Amino acid sequence: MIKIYIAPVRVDDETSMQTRISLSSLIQNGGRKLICDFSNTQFLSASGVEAFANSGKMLMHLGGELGICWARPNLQTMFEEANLAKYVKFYNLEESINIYVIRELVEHFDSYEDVKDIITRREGDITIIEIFLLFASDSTMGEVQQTITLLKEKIEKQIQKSRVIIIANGI
Amino acid sequence: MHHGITLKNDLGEIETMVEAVEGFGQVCHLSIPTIFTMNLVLEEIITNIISYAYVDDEEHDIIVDFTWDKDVLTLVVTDDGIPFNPLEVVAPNLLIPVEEREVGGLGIYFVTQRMDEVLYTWEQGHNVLTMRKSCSKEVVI
Repeated sequence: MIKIYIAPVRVDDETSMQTRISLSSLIQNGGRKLICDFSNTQFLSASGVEAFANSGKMLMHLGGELGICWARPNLQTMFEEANLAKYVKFYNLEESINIYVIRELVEHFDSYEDVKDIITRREGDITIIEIFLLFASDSTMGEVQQTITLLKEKIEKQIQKSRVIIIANGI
Repeated sequence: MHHGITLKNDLGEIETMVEAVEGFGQVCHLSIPTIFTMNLVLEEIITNIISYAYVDDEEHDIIVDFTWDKDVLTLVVTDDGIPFNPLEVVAPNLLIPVEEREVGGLGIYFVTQRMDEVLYTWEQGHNVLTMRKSCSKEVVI
């Protein structure tokens, strides 16, 4: 099960304890692939690095993985300096975006038939996400439009400065 | 440019330290990586002091001095806790698994790695830790 953890702005000596508790709770509740969203995180202390690395190590033992997305380069460097980067997996921009997109698509899997492709590209500071969805041939235009609008709104809300284009096709 | 602040031995004071670092960074036009380094090293040192330096429940002062002169950043942290030289802390063994490492050594390791020079002295009943970093070759991003 994929679970998302939104890391706080500062993961310092004080907040790293709460981070450890939150990550442990997600693992105890069945999370085997944890995605830690660092998009808000500006600061990480040594205890913060250790908190994520310890959870990553625990997940590795359980056959899972702790992923970190949207990490600023200086935060990623800290894991490397401490030789703890092997316990976590850093995702690049496209992979990070796809994680969110796939999560939303999975949540609404009963609204369409299949996902043909997901293409991510950048135009300036805007992220363009094209999603090619297949709908059942007996779907009405109203149902298709409702699904497109819902997914577009949710994904654009999750990913800053993004524009979602959904191309619908019938099977 | 010089600035000094006095913090109490309360972890809530870390927020005051962060505000002072951000303010000093803005006034001196320091780069984002330099401000990050200041935050990191001061957080590690001051948290250690607040957590371990005092054997009583009294209020104590921790003095932090910031100096920016000719592209050299100098941070001096003075406290009246028990004598403790952080440079004597054994460096963490980065080659062993995370769960086997001793707790606490990583913070000091980051400090010594990020700063060009770290000096400890015991002066008139106070721990004085002086940290210097030359930032002249840094690329501002």
